[in-house]
Amino acid sequence: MDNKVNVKLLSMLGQGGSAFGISLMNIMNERDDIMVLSADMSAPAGLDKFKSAFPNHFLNVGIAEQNMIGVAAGLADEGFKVICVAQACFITMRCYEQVRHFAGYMNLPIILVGIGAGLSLQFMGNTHYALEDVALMRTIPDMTVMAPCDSLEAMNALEYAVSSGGAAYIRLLGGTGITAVHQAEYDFGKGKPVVLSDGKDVTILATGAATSRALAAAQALDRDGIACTVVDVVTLKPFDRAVLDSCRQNALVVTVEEHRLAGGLGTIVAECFTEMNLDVPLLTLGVGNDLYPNPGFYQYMVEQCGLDAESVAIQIKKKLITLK
Amino acid sequence: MTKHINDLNRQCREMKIKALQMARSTHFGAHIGGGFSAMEIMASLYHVANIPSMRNPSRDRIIVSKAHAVLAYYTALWKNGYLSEDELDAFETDGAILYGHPHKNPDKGIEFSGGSLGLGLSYAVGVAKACKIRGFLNTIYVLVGDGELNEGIVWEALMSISHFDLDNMVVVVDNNGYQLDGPTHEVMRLGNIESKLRAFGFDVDVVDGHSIEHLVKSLPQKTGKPRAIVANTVKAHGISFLENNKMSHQCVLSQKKFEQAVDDINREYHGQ
Repeated sequence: MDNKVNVKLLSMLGQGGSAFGISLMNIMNERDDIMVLSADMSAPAGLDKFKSAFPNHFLNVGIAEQNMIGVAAGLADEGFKVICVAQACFITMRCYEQVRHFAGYMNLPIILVGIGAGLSLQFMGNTHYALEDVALMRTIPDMTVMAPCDSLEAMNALEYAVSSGGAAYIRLLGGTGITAVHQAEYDFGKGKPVVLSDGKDVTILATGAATSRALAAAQALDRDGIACTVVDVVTLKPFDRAVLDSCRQNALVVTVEEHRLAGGLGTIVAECFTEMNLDVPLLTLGVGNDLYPNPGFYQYMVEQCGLDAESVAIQIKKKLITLK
Repeated sequence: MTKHINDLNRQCREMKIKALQMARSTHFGAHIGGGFSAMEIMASLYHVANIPSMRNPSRDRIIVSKAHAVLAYYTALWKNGYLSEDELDAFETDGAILYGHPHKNPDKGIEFSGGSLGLGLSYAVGVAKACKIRGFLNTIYVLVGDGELNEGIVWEALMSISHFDLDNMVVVVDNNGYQLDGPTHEVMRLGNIESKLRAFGFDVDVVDGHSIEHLVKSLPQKTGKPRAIVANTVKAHGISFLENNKMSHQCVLSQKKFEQAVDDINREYHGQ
């Protein structure tokens, strides 16, 4: 892609609209082995354009996520590159065993794209929030788990997943009007962590939807004289632990994610801390393990979970005070 | 009876004796009931399927979703040259390639890793669709158990087979009337399987699942619709003390019981 991207357009299209409306269409110019499967969720995912342009490369399996993964497995085993699309909560939980069996045990390179992850489905309620998806998907051997923070990164993640040849889960936000974290094309590599800002006091590791709010929190902290490094962790598995090497000199490491604390980025980093013998205080911010948030508008939801920029900044300051 | 029917019956006898030896050798016991209900089905499937090589993409597929039928599956693979007798004799020993549920191994003729019920049928839908896209004229045979029909994914898959017009699929139901805890009508009543499958858009044949003659006649038919064959069978067929006995689901054979079972099988085929 051109280095100058139309950030406004991508923001308007949302992650699904950008990944499926632009990237997937580009991919189709280069390959003829793509099959996209959806469990009655193609329109909200932004697949309308793809469906009408390539009807023979699309299968709607109906509201049947378990069968979707089985059908995907059969197609993948016959040499097709299969992308499955459904809501993040259902594509990871309703059919967890199918994913474990086919993507894991049978090692079939199926790509799962979950839309409406985290709290983004707002008034749909807790049945529709995906707050455990990363925890589940990271237990599948050899599966790459990615949580892009904006539309551009969602496009890069899909293109990488298709080209990499392995199984992957990509966690996308819902809706349109996504805040752009990346203002121009950048080196995505194999989904390595991207340092968004440099500061010597605190390192904030953020992923997915929480990244733009972590950046805003860092800017607020900077005004109070606390300099933060903010890292966009797009790939949760395999986690690039090299990003933690530079944390040794920090007063505090923080993780921020729109996912339950159990099993997500905070857990991943805590595991690395133990294995690497890192002696740095760690603050993990996410959705409480015992919390079923009250449905509401998105801002209300993230505030309840302490994941809005202001709450993130306050929690970091409080933690720093206890360390003095 | 024509020669190939006689040959297949002879083959079944050898499969059954070998299966008893395998079951006898296991520490924890084997799935004897669901293996012996499927002996004639597996032998017939390998007779009718066109598999020039496991590397041939347009080969017919035999996908065993009812994965605990390994005593029938492995012995059929043996009789068809995919597995050696040594490999069968190593069944369920440390590090062996053959265990309680089959693991995908194209070199040994095994298409699919089974064990979790219902998954094989769903996987087969993807395989059948892929073969259609590629323009192959092959047939995808899938073996499911009647107890397996309890699984929701089976009905999701059946729905999609019909919706995607997969007339290259033949779903064989080993209708032995039993599942682990007892008779299917007691555990989870299935009602009329034939009419349920018809309602899902299948052409359905009901056959005697222990009749090679009926099976080899029904299996290869093409009707322009997805097909299902309800093969009425007896769990642990041919073993007098295990037939219609839920203990046959998975059991250890003592030397005495093993000899009795071998005698039962030999009596069944006496004069053939």
